[in-house]
Amino acid sequence: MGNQSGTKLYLIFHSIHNVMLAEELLLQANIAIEMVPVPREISSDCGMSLTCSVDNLESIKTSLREANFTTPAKVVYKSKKEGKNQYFYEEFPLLERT
Amino acid sequence: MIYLDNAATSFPKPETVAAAMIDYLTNVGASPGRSGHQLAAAAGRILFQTRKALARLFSLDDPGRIIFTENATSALNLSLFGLIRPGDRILTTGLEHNSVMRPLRHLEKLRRITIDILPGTATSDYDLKLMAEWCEQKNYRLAVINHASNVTGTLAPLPAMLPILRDNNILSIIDGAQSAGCLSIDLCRLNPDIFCFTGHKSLFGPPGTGGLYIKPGITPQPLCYGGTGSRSETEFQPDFLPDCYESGTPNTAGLAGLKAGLEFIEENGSKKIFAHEQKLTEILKQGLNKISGLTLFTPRVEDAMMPVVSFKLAGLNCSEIGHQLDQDFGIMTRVGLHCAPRAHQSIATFPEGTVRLAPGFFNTEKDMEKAIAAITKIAGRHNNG
Repeated sequence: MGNQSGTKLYLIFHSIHNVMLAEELLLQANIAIEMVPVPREISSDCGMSLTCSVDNLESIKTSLREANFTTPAKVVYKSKKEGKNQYFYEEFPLLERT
Repeated sequence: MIYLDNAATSFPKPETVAAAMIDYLTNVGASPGRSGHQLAAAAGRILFQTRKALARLFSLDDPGRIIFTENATSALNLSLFGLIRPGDRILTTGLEHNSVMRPLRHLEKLRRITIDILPGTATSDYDLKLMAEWCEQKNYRLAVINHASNVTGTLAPLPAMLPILRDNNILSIIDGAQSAGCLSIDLCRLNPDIFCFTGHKSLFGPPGTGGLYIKPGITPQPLCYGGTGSRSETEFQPDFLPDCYESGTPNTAGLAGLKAGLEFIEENGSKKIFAHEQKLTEILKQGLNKISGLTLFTPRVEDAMMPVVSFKLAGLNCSEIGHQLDQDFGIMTRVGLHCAPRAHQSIATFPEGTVRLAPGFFNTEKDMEKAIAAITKIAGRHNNG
C-alpha cells in the first residue's frame, strides 16, 4: 500500500456501536479519523464508517489491537487500476480474530 | 405528598433526566444508526454512551453486549423465548414476578417444558442444599432467578447460586429489575449468562427503557426481527450484537434520559444511594415493628436489605390501608399482589397481598416518620372501632 500514500481509506464495521467504539479508541490514540456515511459504492448499508489517510493504517491496527478491539472490521481503499481513471474498492480484514 | 412506590417506578427522577430527553427531542431528534448525517450520529452517540455507562455500572468490559429493550419484562421474554427449547426442564424460584412466571407458564403449554420452583420465603434464605441436589439430579437446561424480590426485598444469594448452576451446565438468567442500580453489581465476577434490568426503577431512567447483558457464547434467538440500520442489503437478520436484538427505531429519547440517570448514579455513588435507602428502610422496619397487629414480611439478613417493606395489619384489608394512606395522609404505596402471585403464595399472603412501602433516594427520614405515624394512626382507628 506504500504507493497509495495520501489516498483515503474507509474502516467498515458491522454496527454503529463499533464505529463509535473504534472512533473513540483512535481519537484517544491521536489518530486523525473522521466519521462519514459508508460510501454507497462500498455497501448498500445505511450506516457510518471512519475515514482517514491510508498512511495511518498500521497505527490504526496497532491501536485497536492494543485496546483488544477484536470485533470484525474491514478496510476499504480507493486504487487506480491499469492506468484507467476509475476507482475500485478492495477489502481485507482489519484485524484477525483472536 | 410522600411517594413510597419506588419499587414500581422511581419518582421523582433527577432533574437532568427530563432535561436530557427534552434536549434530544428538541435538538437531535434523528434516528440512530440509520442515516449518515450529523444528527443521526449524535443520536447514535446517545446510545453508545448509555451502553458504556451501563457497562461501567455493571463492571463489564464490552458495552456491545448490552441490548436495549422496553423494560425488564421484554428482556426476560427475549431471554426465555430465545433460549428455551421444546421439552426443556427449567428451574425458577418461589419469589418470581409475573414477568418470569407468565412467559414460563406460556412456554409450558407452547413448548411442553417442565418447571420446578425452588421454595422461597420472606424471612429465610433459599435452601441451597436442595437447589444443588435438584441441579445434580433433574437435568435442567436453564434457571431463571429473581435477584431481589419486589414483594419482600429478599435477595437471592447469587454468589452461591450461580456456581451451582455453572457446575451443572445450567444456563442462568437473572431478573435484576429491582436490584440494578440499587446494589453494586459486578457482572464480570458474578458471571451469569444473562442479566436483565429495567431503566425506570433504581437506574432513574424514564419508563420504556431497560435491557439485558448477554455473555459471550450465549445466543438466544431474537424475539423481534426487522430493520437495524446495518446490513440493509440483506433480508436476513444480522447475527452480531447489539443489532441482532434491536430491530426497529429505538427509544432514543428514553435512553437519553436513562443516560442522565446513570450519570446521576455515578456522580452520587451507588453505595451512597443504597446506604441512604437502607437507612430509610431500617427506620420503617423499626417503626412498623412497634405497631400492634402489624406483620412485616422482610428478609432476616439485615445487611442485604432492599428498600422494600411489605406488611399487613390484622383485621384490615390492605386496599383499605392503601386508600387511607393516600387520601388522608398523601402517602402513596402499592397494595395487593404486586404482579407477583407466586411470591405472595410463598409468604402466605395470597390472594389478599400486602401493603408495600418502597422508599427511594429522594425520600427523607422525616417522610419515614410521617409514614410510620400515619400507619400507627390507621391501626389505632381500627382498634378503637
